[in-house]
Amino acid sequence: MTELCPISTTPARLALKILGDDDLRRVHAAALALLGAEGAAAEKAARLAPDTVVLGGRVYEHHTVLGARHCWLGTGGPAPRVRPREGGDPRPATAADLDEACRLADALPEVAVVHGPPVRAAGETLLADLARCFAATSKHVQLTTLRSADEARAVLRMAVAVAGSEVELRGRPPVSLCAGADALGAASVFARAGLPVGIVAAPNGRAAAAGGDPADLPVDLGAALVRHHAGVLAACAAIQATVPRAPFFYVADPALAGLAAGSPAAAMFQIAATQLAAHIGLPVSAVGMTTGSHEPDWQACTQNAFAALSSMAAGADLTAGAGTLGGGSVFSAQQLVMDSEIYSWNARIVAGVMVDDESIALDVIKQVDIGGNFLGQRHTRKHMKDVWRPRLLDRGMWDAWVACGREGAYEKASALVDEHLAEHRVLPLGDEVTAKLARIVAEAGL
Amino acid sequence: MTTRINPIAPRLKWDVLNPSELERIHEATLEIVEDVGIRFPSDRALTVLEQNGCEVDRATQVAKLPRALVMEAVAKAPREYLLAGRDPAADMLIDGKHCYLSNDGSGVFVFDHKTGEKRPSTKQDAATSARFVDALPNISFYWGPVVTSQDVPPATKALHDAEAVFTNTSKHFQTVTTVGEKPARYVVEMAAAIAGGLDKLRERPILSFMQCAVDPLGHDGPNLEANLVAAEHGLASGFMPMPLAAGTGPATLAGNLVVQNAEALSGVVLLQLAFPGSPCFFAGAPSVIDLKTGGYTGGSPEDYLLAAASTQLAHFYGIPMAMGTMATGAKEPGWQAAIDDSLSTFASVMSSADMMNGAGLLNGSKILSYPHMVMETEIYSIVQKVAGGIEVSDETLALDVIKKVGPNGTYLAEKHTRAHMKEIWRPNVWDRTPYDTWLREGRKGALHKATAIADDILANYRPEPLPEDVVKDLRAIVARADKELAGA
Repeated sequence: MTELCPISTTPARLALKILGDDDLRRVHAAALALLGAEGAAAEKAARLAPDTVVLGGRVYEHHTVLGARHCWLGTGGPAPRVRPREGGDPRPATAADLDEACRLADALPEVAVVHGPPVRAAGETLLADLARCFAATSKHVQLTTLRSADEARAVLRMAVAVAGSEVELRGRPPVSLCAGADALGAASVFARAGLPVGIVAAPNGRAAAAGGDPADLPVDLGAALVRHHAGVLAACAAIQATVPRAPFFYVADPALAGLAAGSPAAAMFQIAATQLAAHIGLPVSAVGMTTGSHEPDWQACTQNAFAALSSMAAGADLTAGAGTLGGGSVFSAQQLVMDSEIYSWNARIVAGVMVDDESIALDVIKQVDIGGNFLGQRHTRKHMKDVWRPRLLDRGMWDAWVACGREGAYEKASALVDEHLAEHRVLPLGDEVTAKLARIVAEAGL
Repeated sequence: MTTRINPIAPRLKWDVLNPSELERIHEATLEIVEDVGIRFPSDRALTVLEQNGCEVDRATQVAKLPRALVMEAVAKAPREYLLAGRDPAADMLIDGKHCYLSNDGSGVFVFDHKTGEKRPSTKQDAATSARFVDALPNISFYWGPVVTSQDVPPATKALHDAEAVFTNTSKHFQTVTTVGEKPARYVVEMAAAIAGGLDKLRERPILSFMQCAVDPLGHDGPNLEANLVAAEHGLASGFMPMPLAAGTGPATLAGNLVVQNAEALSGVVLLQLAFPGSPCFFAGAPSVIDLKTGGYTGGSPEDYLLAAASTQLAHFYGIPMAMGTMATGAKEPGWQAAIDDSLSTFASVMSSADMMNGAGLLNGSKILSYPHMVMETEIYSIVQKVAGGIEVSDETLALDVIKKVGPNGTYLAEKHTRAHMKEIWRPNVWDRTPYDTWLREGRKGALHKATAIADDILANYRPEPLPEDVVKDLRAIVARADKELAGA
């Protein structure tokens, strides 16, 4: 049976800041200065770009709106290798792995955007991978490796086939592009058709190798921000010059700024970049959960928890990168479930504390009185389901945990992966659309 | 002067409550302490409150605190004070600008990382844990003990704990197991023996006290009396409410904050009425009920929101906050511990909690693991770096360098890079090697590295010893207490 899980998202009430107002203006001004004569035009273009961007799903329940003060989760990718579900060392990814990864992302309510795609199947073209993505999820697909204008035109035809028409494509674009400077040509094709793009025009030389030594990285964070911000402004200007008011989002990807994945500097960068995006009125896609750890372990969780919290608490609209290890080089199904749990924690945190008469519950406190118990109160029954509930945590007694074989988060995630992949059915594309996609892939020959 | 501790001076600020929300919770708190009151099951405490104009019911042991009196008392509390180390290089100035991490406390088991099994803790474990904490610069003070002495008479456990701690760390000691007036006086006597007398202890307080409250809206008698002894001698003290939303507090977070605030505030009012100007602090470890078991969650997103909001409330009154931080519910230092510890530390630091308690225990503050404590200090250092913020100046913006290097150049050879590269954070236990290297070196992850660091400290670290005559004095005080309180 087909299941359509609505995406789980939360309004973001908190706004963590790392730059004061003066510092924010100073970084922005330095970026404009770096752009020289084009600076003023770039700023104007950014301010004229739409402040909300729709990332459409195949169905209404899977639409994502960036710029609406909600935080959403995206997968990472594309990873060339996959950590087998049953364990063992990573191996080259196959088309079946891509199907599984997309289907799992489709089943997880926390995942809003299939970013990447999550894995790059060995021997397959980008278009063939995209066709598999469209079949394996009805959620939005955000491409990160699209580069040529020819490929972009083929993707556009595929997107029209999925959306139904060019008009519907503009209303609920099923695909978008998030990339560096070398994708500007492809981005222009997308922008003309109304497909959202997020580009950093000048990635500023050395991007950090995944897991690289931070001592190899360049200079101060302030300087990295200036260069990155200038790159986004330049790209935005180029796109807006092609198509005024084209949907454009700010990419806050530490890797594109040359920062080590999962480092404190990466977390700080995301907070600051999100502030800079807000300063010029652009929605933000943060690529944060890119742990350098090789296993879904303590280190992976620490890195991704900080990455997700810093971007979400700062107000980033999308936090992508879930499900990858080794700096984005390996996809792990268990890691995707575990990262979804991290997102869920953070979504509850950024929702903040509601303060009103109902939540203060003065009458209830008085009624319960000193030494009493709130468990039997109507107010408790009414609100107890608001309490966040984990899927992967063990909160039982030590002896019970030992008796159950010391099962941890990884084992619980494995069980959830197996359950989802056994039971979840994706909304079918339909034979006609499937055939169209196959034809476009074959004709493109890319 | 060199310092042996490494507090965080956060430049980032994260307000969970806005000013009008803070005001609403404050007003609701005043209504509760004035109309419902708080239970103070101690004649000494009730007398103090009665003499200062509170309406006291001796039968129920409930005191109603007029709002004007509350605010008047709170205003007497010092905004800034010293928590001294025996070694001045471990002094902590509680000034609202620094966050100091302690270990966690009151555990009852030790996890043997060589066998994977746990065992009940002993006085020797309290001593070893103090020596271990003394070695870690990211842990500024010793709270607890981490694990209690369970092989000594229960009536004098706190004194044996204190003896083990005082002789194995020269950092500040905040006791959480000293309850009742007599044990408190003995512990103060021990601290005075080290400091060189009660007056010297008042000048350089190497000891402070923390007690739990009894939720909802009550205190424990022996806890009150112990903190009154602390305040009498100018030692800092505070009360730690732990209301459990949906159990001992309302299911909604704002209501839970009211209960917690009423308890912490009422404790401070008592201390200030009894000994005006005595150093005091709010404390808290608020949480929500685990709906599956009815128990303590040991980490949830609500906990961190409550922690940040409680800290804002303490600072609203100008009172320092000691916030329950880390203290994961996980059974081992793995994924679950990582998320608990990372997010809770982030919340405490971003809200500028003055003291954070603390590192080292698993399973809801029950089981001590030394490698786990080392891993938690790594989390602390990450948060420290992020909380330090981004400096924006001509030097850090480096516009000239960016222009010189150009779009596809490298910064590696630049003088500016050499001047600043050492500011980049470097991990102690994270692994950043490429996959093949990691494989070749035996898949050594954070736990492996942390275990090696822990083993090295346990084998080799020696704290600054107490003078032998002071050690003898402490032993004599404990023996006297054993005789009087435990009949030993």
